Parts: sequence; C-alpha cells; structure tokens
Amino acid sequence: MSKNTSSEYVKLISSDKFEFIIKRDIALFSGTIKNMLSSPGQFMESEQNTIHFRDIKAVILEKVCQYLYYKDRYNNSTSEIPQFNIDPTIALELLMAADFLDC
Amino acid sequence: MSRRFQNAADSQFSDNWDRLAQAIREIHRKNASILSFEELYRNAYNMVLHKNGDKLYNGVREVITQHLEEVAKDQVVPAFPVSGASSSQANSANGAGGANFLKVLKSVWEDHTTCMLMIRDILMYMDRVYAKSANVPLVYELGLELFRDTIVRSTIYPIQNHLLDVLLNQILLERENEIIDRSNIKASMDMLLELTDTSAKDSVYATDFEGRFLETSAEYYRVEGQMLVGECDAPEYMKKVEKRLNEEEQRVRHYLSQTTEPKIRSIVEEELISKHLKTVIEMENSGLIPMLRNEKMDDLGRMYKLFGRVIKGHEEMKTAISNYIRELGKDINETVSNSATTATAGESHTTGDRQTGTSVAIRWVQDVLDLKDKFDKVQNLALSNDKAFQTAFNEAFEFFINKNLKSPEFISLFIDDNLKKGLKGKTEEEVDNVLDKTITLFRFIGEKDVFERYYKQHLAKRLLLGRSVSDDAERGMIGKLKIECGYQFTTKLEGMFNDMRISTDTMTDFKDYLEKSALERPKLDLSVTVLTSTFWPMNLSASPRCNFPAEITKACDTFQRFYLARHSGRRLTWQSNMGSADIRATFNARKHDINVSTYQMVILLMFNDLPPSQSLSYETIKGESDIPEADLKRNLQSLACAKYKILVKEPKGKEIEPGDKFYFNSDFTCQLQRIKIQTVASKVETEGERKDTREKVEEARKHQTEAAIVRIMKDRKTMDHNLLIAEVTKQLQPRFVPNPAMIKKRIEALIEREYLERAPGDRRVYNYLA
Repeated sequence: MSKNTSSEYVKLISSDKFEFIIKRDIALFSGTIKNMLSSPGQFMESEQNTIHFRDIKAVILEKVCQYLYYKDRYNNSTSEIPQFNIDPTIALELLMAADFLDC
Repeated sequence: MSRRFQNAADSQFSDNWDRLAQAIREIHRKNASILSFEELYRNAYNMVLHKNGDKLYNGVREVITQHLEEVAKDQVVPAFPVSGASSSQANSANGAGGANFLKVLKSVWEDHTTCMLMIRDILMYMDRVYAKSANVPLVYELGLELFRDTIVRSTIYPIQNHLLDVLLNQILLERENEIIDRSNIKASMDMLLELTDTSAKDSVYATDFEGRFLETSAEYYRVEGQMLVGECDAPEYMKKVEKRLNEEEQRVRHYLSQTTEPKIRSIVEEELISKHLKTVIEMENSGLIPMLRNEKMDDLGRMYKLFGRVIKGHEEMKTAISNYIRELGKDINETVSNSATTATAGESHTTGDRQTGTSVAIRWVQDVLDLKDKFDKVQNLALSNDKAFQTAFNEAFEFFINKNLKSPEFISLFIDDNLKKGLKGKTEEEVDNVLDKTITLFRFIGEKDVFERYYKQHLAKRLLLGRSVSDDAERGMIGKLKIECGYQFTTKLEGMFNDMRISTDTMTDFKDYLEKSALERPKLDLSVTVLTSTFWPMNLSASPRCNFPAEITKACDTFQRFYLARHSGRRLTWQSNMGSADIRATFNARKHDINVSTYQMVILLMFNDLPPSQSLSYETIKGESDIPEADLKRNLQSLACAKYKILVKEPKGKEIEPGDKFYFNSDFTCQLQRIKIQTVASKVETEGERKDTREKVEEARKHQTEAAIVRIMKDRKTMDHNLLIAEVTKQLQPRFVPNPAMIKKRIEALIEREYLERAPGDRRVYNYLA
C-alpha cells in the first residue's frame, strides 16, 4: 500500500493546467473522485494523490471546489443555508461537470 | 455531411474503446498503476454520452469473457485433482490434490473480484446512466455472471464437477476425522454464495452445491446409522450421535452457509435418531429399561435430549416407560395375590390371616411409594420435569393401582399403621413427608369413596383404642385430605375428633359431679366416650347386647343420668364391643394389671366369685354374658389360647368349641406388671366383610348419583341424555367414576318417582319436574 493514501490534501488539475489543492475528505464528496482515490487497484491517481481533469476548464473546476466546500460546511446543518450562486454563463458546462463528477 | 460526422464519431469511439479494452487487460494483469483512472473514466463517460453505452457494455463483456476463458484454461484446468481409484473414496492423496485445486480456484476468484471492483469504478458512469435505463445488470454483477458461466459452470471444461467432487470429498475426509484446510473450503463456499442463479433467484451455492451436499450427507449418515446400531450399545450410540450432531453444527458455522444448518441437522436427526428410535430403546442390556432399572440418569438425560429433537422421539420413550411402569406395577400387584393364596392355603386362623394381610398391604403401599420415588427421581434428574412425561407416568400409576381392587383399603391401612406406630420418633418434617407421599398415592385412586369408608373405620378404631401416635399427625392428615377433596370429605372425620375432645371435657365434668354429689361413688373408675352416631362408622342398629355385672350397670346408669340431665333430647346406646377395661388381677405369684376388652372384662368378672378349682363352661359363659357368638369365641381365644393365658381351657387347643371348660389360671406368671391382651383389631377384611363394605359403597353411590342428577336437572330444567351423563360423571369424578349404565338406571328410577320426565317430543331429552 502506498503511503500517500493518508495525506491530507489532494491536487485537482484542470484542462488548462490550473491546480486546485483541496482537503481530501472534502474532495470525497464527489463520487467520481472518491472512486478514483479509493479504488482497490493502484491507479496512478491514488498513488500520487493528483487528478488531471482534461475535459474540465479551470473556471468550472473552481466552482466545483467551491461547491464541495459549501456542501461540507452546510451538510446536516441546522442553521440557515445561504444560496449557492451560479453564474448562468457557466451553468451548462458546470452541469456536465457535475454529472461527470457525480456530485 | 452527417456520414462524415458519423465516421468521425465512430473512429473516435473505436479509439476510446481500444484504449479502454487495453486498460482492462492491464488491470487483469495487475498493472493498474500505469493507468490513469480519470482518463478511462472520461472515456467511458464520453462513450455513454455519445449514446454508445450498449457498444461499450457489450465490449466490456467480451473482454472479460475472453480473459476468464484464458484463466480457465491456463490456471484452473491444470489444477484439476488427479482422480484416484474412485472419487468418492476418502483418499489422502486425492485430498491433497483437491485442496490444491481449491486454493487455485480461490486465488482466481479473488483476482477476479478485485479486478471487477476496479472496472466497476472506472465504468461507474455507465452503471449509473446506461445500465439502469437499458435494464442490464450492473458491471459488477455482470462480472459475477460471467465468472459463473465461464468458469464455475463452464460448458467446455468439467470445472463444476471437479469443484463439487472436491468439496464433497473434503467434507467426507473431515467426517472421517482427517484434518482439512477449512479456509479453502470457506472461500469456495463464499464464492458460490456470491454467485447467483438468475432463474432460481438463489445463490449458486443453493442450486448447485447444497442439494448434492444434503444428498450425500443423507446417504453417509444412513450407512453410519446402521453401522453404529450394530456395533454400539445404547449409551455409546447416543454419545456418538451427539458428537456427530455437534460436528455438523460446527461445520456449518465454520464454512457452510447458515441456511444449510437446519437442513443438515434434520438429516442427521432423521438418519441417526428417527430411524433407530425403537432399536435403541429396546436394546438388550443397555436400552431404556435397563437404564431405568440401574438409574443411569446421565444416559437417560442424554436420550431425552436427543430424542426430543425428532417428532416421535418422546412418544416412543413415553410409551416404553409407561409400559415398564405398568409391568412393575403388575408385579407388585401379583405379590399381593400370591401371598393371599399362600395365606389361605396355610392356616385359616383368622388372626394369622389378618396379620399377613396387613403386612402385605403395608408392603404393597411401600413398594408403590418406592416405585413412585424412583420415577420421580428419573423425572427430576433426567427428564427435566417434562410435563408430558409426568402425565404418562401418572396414567400408568393410576392404571395399575386401580387394577388392584384392594388399593383404597391398603392405602388406608398404610396410613393407619403409620399413625399408630410408624411415625414415632420422626421429626415433624419427616412426618409431613410421609403423609404427603401417601396423598400422592391417594390421588391415583379412582374409588375415593371406598377409601373414605375404610379411613373412617380405621380412624375410629385408632381414636377409641387410643392407638394414635400423634394428634398433630392425625389432624395434619385430615388437613391434607381436605385440600385434596374438599370440605365434605372431612366433616365426619373432624366430627369424630370433636367427639373425642368433648368427651374428655365431659369426663372432667363428670368427675367433678361425682365429687360434689352425695351419691355413692361407683366402685370402679368409669371413663365414657360419647360418639355422635352420624359421624362414626358403626352399625348402631346392631348394637351388641351384653349383660353387665351389677356394679358396672350401676356406674353406667349414673353416667347416663348425669349426661341426659345436661343434654336433653338425646339417646345413649352403650357399645360394648368397643370398650376396654383395666383389671387388677390377683394371681398366686403376684398381682398384675391387665388391659382387656369390655367383653373380656365381663367374662373375667364371672370368675370372681368362683372358687379356683371350679370351671365355667362355654355355654354358661355365653348364657350369662349374652355376648354374640363370633365375638365371644374371639375373646375367649385371646384369653385362653394366646400368649398370656389368663384362663386355662380344657381341652387344650386353639379353637373354641361348645363344651369347652375354662378355669382361672392362678398359676399365671409374667415378667411385666402391666399386660395388654391383644384384642383382635380387625385389619384386612375377610371376604365377607369386603362384600359387605362394597354393598354399602354401592348403596351410597346410588344416592349420590341421584342427588347429582336432580341437582343438575333442577339447574338446567331440560337436558339431553348424553350431556346429562357427561355432567353427572364430571360432578362425581372427585369421589368415584360412575358407570354410564348405572347413571341411566338412576335416571329411570327418578322418572318413576316423578322427579324427571322424558320430553314429549324427543325421547333423548329429559325435563325437570318441579
């Protein structure tokens, strides 16, 4: 087993080479990312804790990361949940990314 | 334009697909680390997005199938165990080969599942979006199905046969006490459990393996059962069966599916227990009966537990034990009839006959009590107080106890004996214990009213002759009877006690009266017990005559006057056959105090005014005393022919004949100062007396039956014949079991006396006539 599996942060790289470093447990809110990192087989990703998203632009990926933090913050929370704002221009691509990432 | 677009899309698809197919192959080769999850995931995602989900799915299926076929050929088939002489033989070489095969299979399976998990992960999008809508199994399930069809149920290679053979062989080896590798087998079972058979909607374990397992097991245990029954005795056999049952339970727990547990258990129970129930029970020298005889509680307990598992088990045991109890009971009953015949064959001397009679009775009761103790112990220690068995025991006891027609009498005699002497020196607890045991016997008697009659007679004798050892014990016994049978049973008995108590008070008052009054004191010390006639079982109309000497008559009259002055409206009748007297007799050697019956006192007093050398003839004595003949003979025998010869008879002999002469025996000597002349207190009844008692019982029953019928009819006003009979039987049951024919006769008698009538429309229905 690789020692990297217990690191706290993961790196998500967008198609235009932007790197987003977020906490591992927050990243796991995305079903796809979770699979990638905890698959029984030793894929590249789980070895290096890095995922290249060749089809997702930085703008979208950034929004996704924001959403993941948002979800973590307000999941099972009783306080009033503020709305998550989505810019309509990126809405369609964001939708596809969400579908891809299962989150 | 669209065609070009399509071609481009197609080529992109085939590119993507190739890459995916290659990736899958790498996964199979355990080279996943060189792959990028994201790329593969994205490929699949794109394919599904472009509506090529089906092509993807089928492609995946093909790749996996191909891989599995290779695996089958390259890894599984070479590992086939070399079959020895016969695959069903427990062959260790076969065992080792088999174990190896299982190991290979296990590793193949584990590899496959791991790969499938990875493949599922990268194809998750396809699962999520395509599989559900196309109604095909998810990737992982697909993988299982493919494994099932390509390897386990391979049509090309006989993998399944080998697998099943090896598994069954391994189990066989373990049953024959060889050590096998359980983890291997467990892995195979788990694999079979995970694979499902789509048509049966159950696991492959259930469809392919379980059936054969149960079949072969049944066969195995059938043979085992027959062999063991031939070789072992009953306790050994049961121990072995227990062992096998535990083994199989362990086996299931360790490496089979829990669902199999009840099935294999019932097979073992069927083959080893159900089929051999009777054989084991009836095994000579070691079966159920010898176990009971030798009180082997452990073995009995084991049998109870084992046989409890199968339906008929306890039934058989109960029947066998019940029959055994009846056998033993019959033997006990026969000792009675045997000693009865020897007694009648021997001397017909009434006292002798009665003596053996009592001891026979007491022995009978003691034997039955011992028998009950024995089976109570069995019940307690071996049968965990099973109620059904208790019922069977009780029935058996009831059966043989009531077969002995004298049982009510015997039991009463036993209690009589205990209350007279047996309980001396016992603590209160022990006394209670003995009485309790007798009550349990009492419960078994069907004819409780017969018992009541005897008990009353015996109690009367005890009270009047002062033979009771302990008043407390007597009252204790009555208390227990009251609990058993209710108030009515014991009113008369308590009445008798009361009479005794009142009499003592009366006597005290009488003594005071004599002190104070100016009357001439009687020359003798008179002690009177007044009995209320309804309570006591005497036949009063036949109050025996007896001529008392003058002083005695005077004393009696004094008392009578005293008593009637206190209680008006009562009539006193003197019962001379029940009293006793203390006489101071002067012999040549010294004086003795003799305790005799009233009759004997009357006889002896006749010698008072006689010179010593003169005798009285039998006729004279009879004439003067007016004592009935049978009693007279008996009493003369006790005085002249028994141990202490107060009188001398001429001619010598045991029998009293007319013409005998009697002398006062002045030469009489004895060590003791006080002597008691045994009057023959009647013990076991002679045949004549029994018939008498029987008749009285029948009379009483007739009245009770009629009373019951009238009571019921008055309540219900109208009733059907069968119902009436049932109701009457129920009411009379605590006392005795009435004969339906007898009830019918009573109904007819009541109809004649116009208490009831037949319903005008229906002959089977009766109406109450007010």
